[in-house]
Amino acid sequence: MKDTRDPNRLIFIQAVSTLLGIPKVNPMEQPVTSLGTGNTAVILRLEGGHWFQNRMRVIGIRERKTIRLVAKHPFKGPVVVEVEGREMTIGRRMAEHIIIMIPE
Amino acid sequence: MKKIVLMGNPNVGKSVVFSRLTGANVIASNYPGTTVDFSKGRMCLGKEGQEIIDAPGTYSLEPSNRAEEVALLMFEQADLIINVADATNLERNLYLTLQILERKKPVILALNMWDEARHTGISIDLKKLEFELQIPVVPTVALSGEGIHDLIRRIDEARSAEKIEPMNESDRWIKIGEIIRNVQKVTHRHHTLRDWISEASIRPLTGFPIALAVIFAALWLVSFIGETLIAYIFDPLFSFYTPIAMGISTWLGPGFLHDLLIGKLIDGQIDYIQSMGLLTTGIYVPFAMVLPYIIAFYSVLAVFEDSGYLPRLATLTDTLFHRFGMHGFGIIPVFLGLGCNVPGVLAARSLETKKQRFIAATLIAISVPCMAKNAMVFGILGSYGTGYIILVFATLFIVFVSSGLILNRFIKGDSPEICLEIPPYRKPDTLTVLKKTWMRIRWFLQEAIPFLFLGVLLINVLYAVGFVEWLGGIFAPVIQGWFGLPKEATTALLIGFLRKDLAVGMLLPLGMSPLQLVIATTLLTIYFPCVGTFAVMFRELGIRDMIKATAFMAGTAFVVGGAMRFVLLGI
Repeated sequence: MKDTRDPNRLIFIQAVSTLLGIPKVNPMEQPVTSLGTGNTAVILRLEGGHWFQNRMRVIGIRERKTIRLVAKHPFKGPVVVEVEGREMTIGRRMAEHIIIMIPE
Repeated sequence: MKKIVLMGNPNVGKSVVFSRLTGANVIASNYPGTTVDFSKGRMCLGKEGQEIIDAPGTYSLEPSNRAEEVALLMFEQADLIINVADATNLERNLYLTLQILERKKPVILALNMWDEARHTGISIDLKKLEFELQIPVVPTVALSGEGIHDLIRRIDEARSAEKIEPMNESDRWIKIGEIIRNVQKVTHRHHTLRDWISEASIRPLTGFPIALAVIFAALWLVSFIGETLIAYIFDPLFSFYTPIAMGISTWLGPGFLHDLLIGKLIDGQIDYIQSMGLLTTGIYVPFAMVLPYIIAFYSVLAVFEDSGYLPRLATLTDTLFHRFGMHGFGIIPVFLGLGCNVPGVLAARSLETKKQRFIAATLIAISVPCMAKNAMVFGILGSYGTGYIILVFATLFIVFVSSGLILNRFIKGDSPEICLEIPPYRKPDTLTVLKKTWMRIRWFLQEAIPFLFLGVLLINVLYAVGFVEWLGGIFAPVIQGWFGLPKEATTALLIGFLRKDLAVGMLLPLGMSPLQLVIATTLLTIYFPCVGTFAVMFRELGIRDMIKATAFMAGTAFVVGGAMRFVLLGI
């Protein structure tokens, strides 16, 4: 059997599920904010409006990229993430729209 | 004449390439959003002269703030595009490249920071990339000038890509994916000391102590450099000048011309701050009191900007600045405003919404004192004790915080979240720092000296025709009755519209107590911006918002002035 952690496979399963109208119930899907500081994961998908998704992609936050949580500021403050060696500061709500696959 | 426009993502070095191509100097720094307006320059290519335009950085051709709107406008006017891309981050940069190519404009691609890409283990096959994009690709290192000659030589080869047709966003990413797979190889990179410092300075636990230490060190450095320059260079220079000025004074004899050029003698001697003559105060204030601090502030700022620390500071202040209706990037206009409010207000362009820009501009105008004024406050209040200086800045800080809270509550509009790229730390280059500092000093001299002379001239004329007495009488109820200041202070507030530094100087002959001086200098920041700031606010905010901001300033000045009077002077 194929590795269940393969992001391509998950993205494929998701696409099929969406087509069939099956709700997403994968417990390994979490927003990037749930990562511990210094940990990495793979981005599964982006949520939110078209404009927001476009903005995230042009700054480098895209599906299938490995993302690392560099810092999470207190009081619902900003989140610093790293993708391909580049750090970016984004708002907490933005970060909650970045869905990753929790590594086991 | 052909219009060549430099376009690219924020912080890829467009302004550095621009300076290299035109020889014209523009401010470049290591943070996204340095260029908020376009600069024009010229370059000779063959027989023809070409106009080169440096546009603000943008991630795509769909603008998200005022600076990016400017970039789009420049793009539409362009005959040829030099697309500057960051070689260390090619994939993301190609999004804009493809969008530009889809619009069928002739393009040449400059792959900047080529050296950094090599060091970080990224190799890009230039031939293949040229083939994929169908445009010339030139590797450059703008900071050192490497590759710029090739770029100039090959500008003629710029062309539009025939085979790239307009596509939607996801197709564009698929195309980029294909290109990257074909042209780029990345060797795994290990974490370095630089990464470690970078992370320590952006994480809350370590970041805040580092920020405090850095800001404290910067303030100390500014005052140290400023004081040293005054004590060892500017004051000795003026001690040579004094006998000459005294000679002119005796030669002129008493009369209007003497009052205008030399001013009033105090105990038979020239007093550089109080005499108010063109050849005394008019020269001494800008050169011996303000210039040293301008030099100090801008050299320290340049190091800050080029190191890449500012976006990290913006991250740390984000939570706080949201309370003021902005996000962390708002700290950058505030920082620039500490040098001069004009570039500060301009830098607010990088904020996304009208609400954010209004609050940033108003807060700068109302509570961020510029270096010219600070220098005078150091010079004058400093002689009474550091405590008084702290009192002024503490009051302004309280005004900043409370105005921010109030404006956030009452100004309608959105305050979106921060979305800011953190550039890698870079060692500031000495020559670049010196050049940038020199540009800003020259700008100060060009802007400040005419207004200072005008101010001194106006003061003399106003005194001569009795306007000062008349005006003082009118405003006496507010100035004297409410703020507890002598009524002649009105003139200082009037002159403050021209030059705040000169206005602080005008307070000295009024024989005020140190606490009265504290009130007057604080009010000089709050009540109204100087003419330069007023003009740029008017342009950026429009007439309606400008009236709103002005009313808020007048109201705040009234409340704060009265409160300070009761707290500091008693009833």
